[in-house]
Amino acid sequence: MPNENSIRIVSVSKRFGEVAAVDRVSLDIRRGEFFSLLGPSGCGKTTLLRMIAGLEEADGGNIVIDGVDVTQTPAHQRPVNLVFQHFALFPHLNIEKNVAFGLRYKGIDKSQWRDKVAAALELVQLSGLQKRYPDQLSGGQKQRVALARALVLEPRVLLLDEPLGALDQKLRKEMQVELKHLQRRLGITFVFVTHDQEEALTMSDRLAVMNGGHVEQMDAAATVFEQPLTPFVAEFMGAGNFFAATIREVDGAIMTVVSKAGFETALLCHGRSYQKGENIRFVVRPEKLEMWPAEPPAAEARACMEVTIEERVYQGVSTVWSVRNRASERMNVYQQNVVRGAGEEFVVMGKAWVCWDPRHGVAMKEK
Amino acid sequence: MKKETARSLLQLVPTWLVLGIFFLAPMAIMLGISFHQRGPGGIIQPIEHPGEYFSHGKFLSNYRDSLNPDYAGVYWRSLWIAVTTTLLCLLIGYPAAYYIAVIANPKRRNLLLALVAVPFWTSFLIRMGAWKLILGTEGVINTFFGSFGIGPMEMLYTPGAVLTGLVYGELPFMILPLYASLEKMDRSLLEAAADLGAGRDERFFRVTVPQTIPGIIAGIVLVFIPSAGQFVVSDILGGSKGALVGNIIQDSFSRNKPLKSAIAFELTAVVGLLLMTYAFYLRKRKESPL
Repeated sequence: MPNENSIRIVSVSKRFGEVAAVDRVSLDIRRGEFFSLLGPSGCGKTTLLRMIAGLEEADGGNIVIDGVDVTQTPAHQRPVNLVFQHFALFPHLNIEKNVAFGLRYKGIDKSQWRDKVAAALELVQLSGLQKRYPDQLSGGQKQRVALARALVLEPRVLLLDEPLGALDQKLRKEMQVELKHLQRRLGITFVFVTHDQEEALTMSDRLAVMNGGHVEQMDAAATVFEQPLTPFVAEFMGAGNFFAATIREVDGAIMTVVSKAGFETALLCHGRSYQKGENIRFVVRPEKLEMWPAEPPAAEARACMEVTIEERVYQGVSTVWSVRNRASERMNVYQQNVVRGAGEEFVVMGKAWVCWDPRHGVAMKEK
Repeated sequence: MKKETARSLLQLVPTWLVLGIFFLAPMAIMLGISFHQRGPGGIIQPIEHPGEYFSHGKFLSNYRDSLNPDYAGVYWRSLWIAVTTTLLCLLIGYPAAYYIAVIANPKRRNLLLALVAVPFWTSFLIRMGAWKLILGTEGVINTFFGSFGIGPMEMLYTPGAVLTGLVYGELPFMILPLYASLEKMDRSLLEAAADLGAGRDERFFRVTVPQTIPGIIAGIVLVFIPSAGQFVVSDILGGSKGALVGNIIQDSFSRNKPLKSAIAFELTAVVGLLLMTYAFYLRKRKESPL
């Protein structure tokens, strides 16, 4: 097909009374990709997903699926299927009938139902449970049935509304990997809603971070993680180490800034234009910071600041140090526990030096 | 463990007391009376030679009499009127309950429910008297059509009049349980059905109706039982040609208590059997194939 977009969302809005749940959101989801809508509860991600499914009517804008404008198309005529957060299995039907529910509307002959259902259940590793009822299944099994019920219809797009939210941690991890495998194998577009950044990173090719009804950033998962565009995204992706600074000089793609805490560092512009003298913020992810017991020798690829250690949280794999610089800016530093007794040279309330590679600093405009 | 069992049995005592005093004991008394013979002036004759009385099957003579062909027409009428009443109540009550529970503005739900219950503020007898005024030869409907030179139509004292009165009287007992089950229905199931391709009508018949089976059963039971034993409505609106089983039982009960008790017991047994069959069918239904 000439159009590589599976779903185009053009300036879509949805209001609930006075509240704009989704506010003029535009985004393109590519064919065959695993796309996540990520954000805190109430950010509009589920409403957007439900509008794609047709369960919620858009107040404005257009939704195009595979080149066809479906904005006015009722849910039961859209070429997408949704996996509900709380499964929404029909309690009065057994698993076989649950999975077969939509087949008649696809015009599939009844003689093929049994085989189609069996194939779908095999796909989600639930073979042999055809005659059980939903209330006889565990949470994980119900989730698989919900998946099979949607996949048996061979939708062009599968929508998933926090499908793993009701499962326990271990099962969640397993299902994440399984869903990813399934998506690769089937090659269909997955649109996945979650509030869990780790989950989104694990599974997505690309993702959109939503906040207050609009998209803050949409990009490849690693880009959003390494290079947040806004303070909200930075914080949501777990990079809450913010530093205030003033630009001293801009030289092409690199600028030199003086931080509020008094140190000087280089930063990349990442394609955005900055002015000399402008006040900005920059962020450095906690795992990109390195602690030194004393001031390290100056080096090209190293920016440093002096800090006071406030807290030490031992987490097994790593230790999280909570420290504060001279400008009273708090930050977290992750230290991998590569050797036993790592970090013994540091004491709480003592001094230390925190350093990083300036390429890891991400600048963002002050609002 | 044993202590626990004793305790849970003890907790059931009030239930058994209420059931025993108000349900089981009267039934047992009625069953006992139905095995006796009537004496002069409507008294119940004591059984003089119990051994012979029972071995010759004389204690069943009232049941034999109750199957008298003269009663067959009444039994048949009672059955079809009760069944038709139940079906009509379901047909009228379901859309009404659906409107209140699903379509109407939630703020107005309580008002609409109150309207369903409002007729209970007036005595049942008076409301049936009102129907007499509506359906009579000189009644509201005939007066209206009469002004156009149509009629008068004969409506009062017909099975249709009994049916009308019954449906009117029993409708709230259908609407309320239906409302309760529609109101607590999981709406996400309807969304799931729509998402899987089911249109509006299919969603209704494949999801809404199966989801509200408990309400439908409750409504059927609540309407069918009083309809089957009804005697007030048929007495007021049915006239002499409209008698139902209830009328046979009630009519001059004191003059032949044993026979009337036997008929009453039969009615109870028939209704009980129907309910049990239905309960059995429901339990069975879950294991049906695709």
